Amino acid sequence: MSGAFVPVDGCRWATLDSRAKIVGLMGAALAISAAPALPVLGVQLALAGAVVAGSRLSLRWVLQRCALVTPFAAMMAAFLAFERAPDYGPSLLVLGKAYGSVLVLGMLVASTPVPELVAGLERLRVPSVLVVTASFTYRYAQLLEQEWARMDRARLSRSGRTPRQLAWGPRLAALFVRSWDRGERVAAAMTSRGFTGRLPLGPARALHAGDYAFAAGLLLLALPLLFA
Amino acid sequence: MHIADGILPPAWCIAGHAISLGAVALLGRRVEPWEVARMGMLSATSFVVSMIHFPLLGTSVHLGLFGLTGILLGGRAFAVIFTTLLFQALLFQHGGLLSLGVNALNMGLGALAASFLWKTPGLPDPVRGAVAGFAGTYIPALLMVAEFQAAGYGKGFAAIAAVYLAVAVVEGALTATAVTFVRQAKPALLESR
Repeated sequence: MSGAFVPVDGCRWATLDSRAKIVGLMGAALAISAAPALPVLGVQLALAGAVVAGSRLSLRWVLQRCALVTPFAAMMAAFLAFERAPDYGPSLLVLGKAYGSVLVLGMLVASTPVPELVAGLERLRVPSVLVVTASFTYRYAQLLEQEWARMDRARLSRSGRTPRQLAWGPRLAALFVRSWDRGERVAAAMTSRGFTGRLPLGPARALHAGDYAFAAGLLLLALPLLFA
Repeated sequence: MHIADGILPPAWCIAGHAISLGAVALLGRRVEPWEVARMGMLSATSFVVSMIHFPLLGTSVHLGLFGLTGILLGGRAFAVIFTTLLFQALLFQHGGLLSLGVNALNMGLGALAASFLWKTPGLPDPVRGAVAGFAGTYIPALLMVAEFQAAGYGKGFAAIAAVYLAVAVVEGALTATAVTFVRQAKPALLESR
């Protein structure tokens, strides 16, 4: 899991401001999801493909992202194919939209470290309770994953066998209790340092022409919708 | 149970975001700074737990524990679930970003129902826990099936509801044993909501 938090090396869009990437890529994904017919989707996927190709991300990365969504997208397409046979257009449309959205939004994670992403959300005025919770999730998820592994090692050293299925309840509850206690300690430490419930952020850097061009270019994916 | 992007109509996704963010704002209002740390920690725990695969009938399923999250956090569970789903969508493509609002609404409603059922008076902890754990998983599954049917994907999804019934029974049993453990190890945690 830990590797999932690391952006891909060498992505061309890594230097852009996270706000521009969030707005542009989310807008592009929304436009792709709104495609009413295959020709429109085809134009959008061609434009999105150009952005992916320009990002210098490898074909392996593209295939991996697509593979993640394939079971769900293929199942939905199959259901639709059975429902609407012999018209398979809707099935292809769903598949294209799913892969297009995944590639466009995957670039957000591939080009942006999570702390920058969280800071971008805060600067875009996403509710603070979400941003701070997201920040904590990022900081502690990997730590709790290690805690779970430690608990597993301790259990194995005590009993040496796989637990019965219902024993998973107390194991998971123990993780919740431990993290709750840790949360109390962290909260006490943060409150003593003057935490007010908002993420302390440094001044935002000014948006450059490249940031605007990137966001505006991606929002052009909505243009084919006007001609549909 | 995580709906990917491109599956539901965009208008539904926008409405899902609007309702979910409204619910986060409403149920997360007047959050004290010390509460945020606790919520963040539980969000991280839920995220980690959802990555753990549990052996079931020769295969493996991943847990959501929306029921337990609802029991422990009450209405605050909504923001925690929204955040957990955001990370799952970004990092593992479990569910989409556009459909995040709909997914959060489905699962958040499950957690809220679990929180409500947990407060049923006159029942022992394991029974309340089992009912809450079951509802926390099965309500989101039923909502998802209803959404797919309404979006025109046909009636085949009734079969998926049957599959999720087995998962919900497992979640109910695990939640029952989990609340029994918490009652012994840290009872204050169950009283705080």
